Amino acid sequence: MIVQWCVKGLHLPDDDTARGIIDGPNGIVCNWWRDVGTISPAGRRQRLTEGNLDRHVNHFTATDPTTGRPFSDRSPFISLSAGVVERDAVAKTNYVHRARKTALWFATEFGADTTAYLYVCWVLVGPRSAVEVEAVAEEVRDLNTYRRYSEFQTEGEIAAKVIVPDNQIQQCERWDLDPRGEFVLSWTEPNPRFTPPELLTNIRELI
Amino acid sequence: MDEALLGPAALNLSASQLERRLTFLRAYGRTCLRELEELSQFEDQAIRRSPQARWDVQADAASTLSEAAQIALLIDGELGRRLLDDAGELYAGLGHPFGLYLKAVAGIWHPAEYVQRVSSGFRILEQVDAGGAAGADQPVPRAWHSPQQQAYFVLTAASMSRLAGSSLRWPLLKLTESSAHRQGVAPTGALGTPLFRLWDVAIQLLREQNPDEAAIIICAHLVEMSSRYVERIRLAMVNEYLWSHVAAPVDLTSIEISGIAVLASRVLSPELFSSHVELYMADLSPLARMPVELGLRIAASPPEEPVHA
Repeated sequence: MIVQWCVKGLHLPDDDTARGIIDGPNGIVCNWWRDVGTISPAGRRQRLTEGNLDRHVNHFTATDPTTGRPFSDRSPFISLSAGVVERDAVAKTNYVHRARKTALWFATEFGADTTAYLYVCWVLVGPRSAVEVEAVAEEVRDLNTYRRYSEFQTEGEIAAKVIVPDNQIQQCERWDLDPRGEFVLSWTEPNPRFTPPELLTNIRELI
Repeated sequence: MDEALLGPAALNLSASQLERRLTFLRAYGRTCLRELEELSQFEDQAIRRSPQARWDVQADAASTLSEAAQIALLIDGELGRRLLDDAGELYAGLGHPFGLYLKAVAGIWHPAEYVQRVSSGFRILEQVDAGGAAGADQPVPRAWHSPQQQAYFVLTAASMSRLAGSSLRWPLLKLTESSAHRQGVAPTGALGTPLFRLWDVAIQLLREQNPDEAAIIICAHLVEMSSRYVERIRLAMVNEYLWSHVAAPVDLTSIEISGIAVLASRVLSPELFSSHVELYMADLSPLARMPVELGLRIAASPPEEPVHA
């Protein structure tokens, strides 16, 4: 099992909304949960399928025939950015990006806004695909044939399932595009309830 | 080719969204460079960030500016060339010959600077070819062990070998013709082009032969690469959400295709090479031809003097 640090970029109306995600106990929930309000264990199992993951990755806004609405409205998955930096892979591909880059692009509403809210968090990723296992996020790699450099590396995209629990979110960051044309970190809000992933390691310290 | 087909419309993207992506990438690139500067400012070794951290940031900046350059080429050719050169300098600073390739494609550098860098690079390539021979003054830089980086280097060196003279050209031709990379299958570039294609283009540019023959062979490679490019783009377009927001995990153009078109034009003559493109790539769709046409446009641009800081 892998502990993967990620960044989630969200385009939010104001600082209060952004801080509310850190201050409250709900974590980051998927669009499906936010849309229906209440979900059940059986419902979760029904929605965590290969087909829905494919729709989330490759047909995000296509109409879901079961609802008549864009699939995105009720996706049980949450896209996170993990970044891609591994020297030998970079020698083969010349391609690098750190997690905040993708998160910033999404959080600025694809360049329409100059303010972005980023959430630094960790999730568990399994060594292989296990879409039906809610506790483990998916490394989105073999879901299409056109990704750049797919032979060598992922695109750094992780799909969490249903929720990123609040105690796995380390902090919220506000970034702004300043007049010099650079992104600056305006503030950081740490999560007082954050649980570090080191608790999950199997290293027993010397006493 | 209709100029309108070389821009955002060719990719079914709005010009404004491309502009936003370009603005974002340039801003993010500046952010990385500022971070790099801050990392380098600590005088005390004990608190200086690790070399890995600096490498990560510089690589991120290089990759970002390379992506920005490819978008800029669709909107503002001169800006695209400058960004290619900037990205190239950052990659070269990481020891990636891909950086020299970008600089060669941009065409903004002093010839004398080029000759020295390529001559140094050839000595490294000889070392790699000889299995990292003992007795060499310096170990082979890590990135040079990658066949892909070697391919970018030989393309670059081949494109300017007539400038560097026969002392480089013939040894380089001999090395490339005898290399196992002539049948190289390693995926190269964002499209995963089999390495042998880039390697063979370099050989065609080095050989003393009828330029028409060289152009025909190079166009045959570009036809295959362009078909791969258009398939990837059309598949990426399926996810309308990511595509329309310029967030799809693909390169919008192909720096390998465009770069080969630039370098072949400069070696064989822009008029000769573009006439072969017209002849042998006429049946391709406008989208499939777009990266080649961007390269021809770069090659037709007047040379630029490098801007010194």
